[in-house]
Amino acid sequence: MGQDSPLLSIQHVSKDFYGNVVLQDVSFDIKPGEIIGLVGENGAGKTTLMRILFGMPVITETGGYQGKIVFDGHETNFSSPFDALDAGIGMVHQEFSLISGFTTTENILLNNESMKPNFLNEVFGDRMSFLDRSDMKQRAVKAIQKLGVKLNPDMLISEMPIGHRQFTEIAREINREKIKLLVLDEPTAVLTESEAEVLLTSLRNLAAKGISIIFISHRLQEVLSVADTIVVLRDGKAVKNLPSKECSIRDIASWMVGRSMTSESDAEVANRKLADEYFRVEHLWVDMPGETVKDVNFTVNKGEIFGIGGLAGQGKLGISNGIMGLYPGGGKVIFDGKEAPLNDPRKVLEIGFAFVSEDRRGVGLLLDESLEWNIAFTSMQIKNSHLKKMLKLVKIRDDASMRKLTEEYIKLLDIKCTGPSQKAKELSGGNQQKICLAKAFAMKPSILFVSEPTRGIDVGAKKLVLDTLIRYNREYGTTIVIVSSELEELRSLCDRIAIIDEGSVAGILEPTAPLEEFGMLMSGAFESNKEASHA
Amino acid sequence: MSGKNKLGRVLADNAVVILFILLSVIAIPFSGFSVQNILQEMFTRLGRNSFLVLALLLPIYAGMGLNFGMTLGAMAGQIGLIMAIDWGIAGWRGLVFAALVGTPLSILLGWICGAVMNRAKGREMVTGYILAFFMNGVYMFLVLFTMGAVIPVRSATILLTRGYGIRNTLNLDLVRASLDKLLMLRIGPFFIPVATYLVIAVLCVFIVWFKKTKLGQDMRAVGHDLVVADSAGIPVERTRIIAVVISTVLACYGQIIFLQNMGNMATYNAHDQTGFFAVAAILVGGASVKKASLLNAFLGIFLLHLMFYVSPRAGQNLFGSAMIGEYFRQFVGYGVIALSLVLYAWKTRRDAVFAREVLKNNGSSGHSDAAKEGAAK
Amino acid sequence: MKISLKTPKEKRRFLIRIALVLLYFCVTIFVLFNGRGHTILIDNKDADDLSYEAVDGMEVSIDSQESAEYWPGDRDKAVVRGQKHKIRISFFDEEIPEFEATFTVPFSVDMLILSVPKMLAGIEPFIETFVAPDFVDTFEKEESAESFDSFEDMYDGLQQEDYYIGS
Repeated sequence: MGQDSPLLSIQHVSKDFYGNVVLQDVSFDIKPGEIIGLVGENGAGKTTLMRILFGMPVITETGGYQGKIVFDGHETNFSSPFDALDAGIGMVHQEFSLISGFTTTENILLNNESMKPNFLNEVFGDRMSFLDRSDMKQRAVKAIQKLGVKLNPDMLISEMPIGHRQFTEIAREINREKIKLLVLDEPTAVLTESEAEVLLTSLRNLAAKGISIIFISHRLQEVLSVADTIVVLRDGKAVKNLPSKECSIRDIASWMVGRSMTSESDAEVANRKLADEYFRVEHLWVDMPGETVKDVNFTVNKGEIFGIGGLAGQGKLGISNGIMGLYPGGGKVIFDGKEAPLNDPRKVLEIGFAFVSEDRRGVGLLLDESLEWNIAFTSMQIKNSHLKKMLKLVKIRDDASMRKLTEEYIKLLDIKCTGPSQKAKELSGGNQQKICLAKAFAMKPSILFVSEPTRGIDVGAKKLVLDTLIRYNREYGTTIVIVSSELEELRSLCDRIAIIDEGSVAGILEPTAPLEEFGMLMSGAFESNKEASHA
Repeated sequence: MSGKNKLGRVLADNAVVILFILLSVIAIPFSGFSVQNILQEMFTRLGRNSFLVLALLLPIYAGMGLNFGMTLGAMAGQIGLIMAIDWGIAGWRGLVFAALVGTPLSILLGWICGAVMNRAKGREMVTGYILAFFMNGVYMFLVLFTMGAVIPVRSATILLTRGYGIRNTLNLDLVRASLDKLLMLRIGPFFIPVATYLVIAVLCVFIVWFKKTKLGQDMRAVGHDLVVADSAGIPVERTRIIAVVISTVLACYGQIIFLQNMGNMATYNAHDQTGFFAVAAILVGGASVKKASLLNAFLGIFLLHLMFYVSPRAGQNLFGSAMIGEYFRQFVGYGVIALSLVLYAWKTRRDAVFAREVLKNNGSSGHSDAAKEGAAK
Repeated sequence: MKISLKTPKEKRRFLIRIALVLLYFCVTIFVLFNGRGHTILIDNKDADDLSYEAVDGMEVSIDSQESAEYWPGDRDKAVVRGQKHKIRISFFDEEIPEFEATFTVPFSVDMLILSVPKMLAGIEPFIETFVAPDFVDTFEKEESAESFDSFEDMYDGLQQEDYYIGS
């Protein structure tokens, strides 16, 4: 095979999940020893593309894909990630898949250990072979050397700095003899800058040895410095595919987010007069798995709609969940001049916070209960409304008032249902979301936290939900903090938008700020921080 | 972290062991037993119980906690013994016969137990406990109603007078102490059942050796992190089932060794507390649901049985009633299990809090660095 | 388990496993027969019809166990393992030479009676199955033969303190 024939060729790959198109005619090639930087916003299709490449079961379960993937001269159709591994494609995941109680060597050779046969193999099969520890160590050291880093082969993962864990993961993949292509998903997300620099150098080493690399990252300057070619995905399409020398960070950022803008509400948002500071968060940290918040500070004015954006896993979801006391956290939350308690969901509900969770089916709804129960439940629990006193001792439910309330909200929010006694699980996603909103509204909150209000619902319903939020804000003056992965959505209704990166606020922008600014903040480009705060 | 804090941590981590040593030290003088007497008793009890306790180790390595399901193996061993007695097989041959009959039974039961536990990941202990209760019913049905009626029993002497069902106390004279007596060594004033110790030593070698195999390594990996092991292609469920099967088979042999030493068998409740006392012993030895070693097992057997041996007599001498000691024994057994589980949960939480603090410190320091950098520019 | 016999390695393993299963059955059968205990009652009595007479004083030992003395009318027991046994008789009357013989006992019989005079006189069968009227008592019991009407009774009967601890 000549140097110029591609190792991996992705040809016209399309994929939809039940009509929802996530990849559309994506094509690109990787030559041996080439590093491709794959960039794109959340939901741009990066993950789906990699799942297709690795033959994840979820792809075949949802109807397969169109197009062709040619690897090493053969058209492939892996039926499981292990087939992909056997063919020579390795994957380093965003979250560590290391065993923390094992040593470096044991992790590098996990399920790939050197074995010495013994007589029990004849009876109980190959798994009864002894491990050849000295050979294992040799192989591990070899893989570490190939990577060009310093790692102690006998150190426990739990005692290692995070950067070394990342190296261990990569060493595990390149230890496989047949490895030809390495996919790295956000490998630098948890690394310090110096560690990341070492990693990039070792990636260049690997590429020089003929291993191709797909490098997925939101840190654009790293992508730019390590990749030979940049592929930008946006809304499931490969919008750009060009050598990295020919582009700048700013270009890439705008290609990533640049889409036709819906700027109808901008004018209206821009000139709003807002009252004074109403809500303040100081040094908030939240231990929410996968969405860790490290140190977040911001203030919200009375009557404002405050947006919180950022990429997945950076901690934006942790903020509202932490403030509502659903995950352990610390720091200071000051509301209306008084400090609000953390880690106590009932207390914060009582002082007038309300929360529409991103986990609609889990936290938000009582799926098997009727709509009236769903809407009135929290307010009944917290505010003792819809309860009648009986003999001044026992409080019983006031069914009539519950029904009245539910009917009111069904009309107000235009919820499509057969009536207040329908079960919540029978509604569509959009209408379920409206129920969640109604439930929060029924609390008559002073401040409303909304998390991913449009996740998983179709376009028409999205607009209705967002309009409902705006209307509620305008009519009742309720302060709203909205967390969303969809930048467009935030820009269409928020007064200000904070972008969260690596667990803290990277910057706060006006919705009218240019798209690249948002892109830069999300990409962790530190220099732009100051630009943004000055702007 | 300060030195005082560290000492506190060591104390907390070994609270159960320390508590037991203290209690024993207090109870020994009151019991009035001679050291020689106590030591001889400990030699006997080590031989009697070690095998059962060691049977717990593999499931702990595989992250399945304390295998209360080992009771199933004990039942299989008892069925083997009933058969051996029924056929009148005497001496060590009777024990081998019982073990050979019990082996396929316990493999089958272990497989069922493992498969059920795979459906209740994270709740293996309570699942095993309840499963043992359920299987107790099956065992009773088998032994109490079908033996002599459906399953042929040759010897009328082991049947209830009504003609079917095994007597509730089975005399094991034929095999009594046949393993212990096979090679009884007299050292000074002590009798050492060498053959029994040899069998236990073989098991220890097996366990040490097993940990060095690929399967043992896989078991450790599964125990440390199920998800990671799965994503590395280790057949997680199969590995867990194998761990339980081995444990169940070992429990079967362990029960046979236990009963040959006792010399008779309470047909319907000899297995009731097999798992319970084995678990108590290993916990007393300082093991947790996640971590255990051979040392934990032997230390635990020694301490728990030392306590069991001296406490009734100490109770008698102190309070004039052996029942106080008997009560104490039960109380201590359950108390140890509860205490260990609570301590383990507490330790896990403490470590989580500690990890969170580290995270928080890193986070804020990282941020302030960045802020300083920003300010400098 | 999937059994494929394509490679020599798989073939070899399959054969070894089959051999082990066979070995399992062989060992089981071996200990079953070899370990089987029989109680032999050694009898030194006259026949009812005086067709044979009791030996006037002898020492009998079976399978080189400790020998026991027998006078006319005596009956004693020896517990043996396995089915093939050797009996050795030395008479007090030193003029009669020592007698040695081997005999087999049926596998399924727990207790049998061996009549020495019959054996010496060559009367077959000199071994008979022994069915004792007080069979139960010959099995030494720590408890009386109990029976129970309900589970509660059973449990009451079964509560043995110190069972596990073995005081």
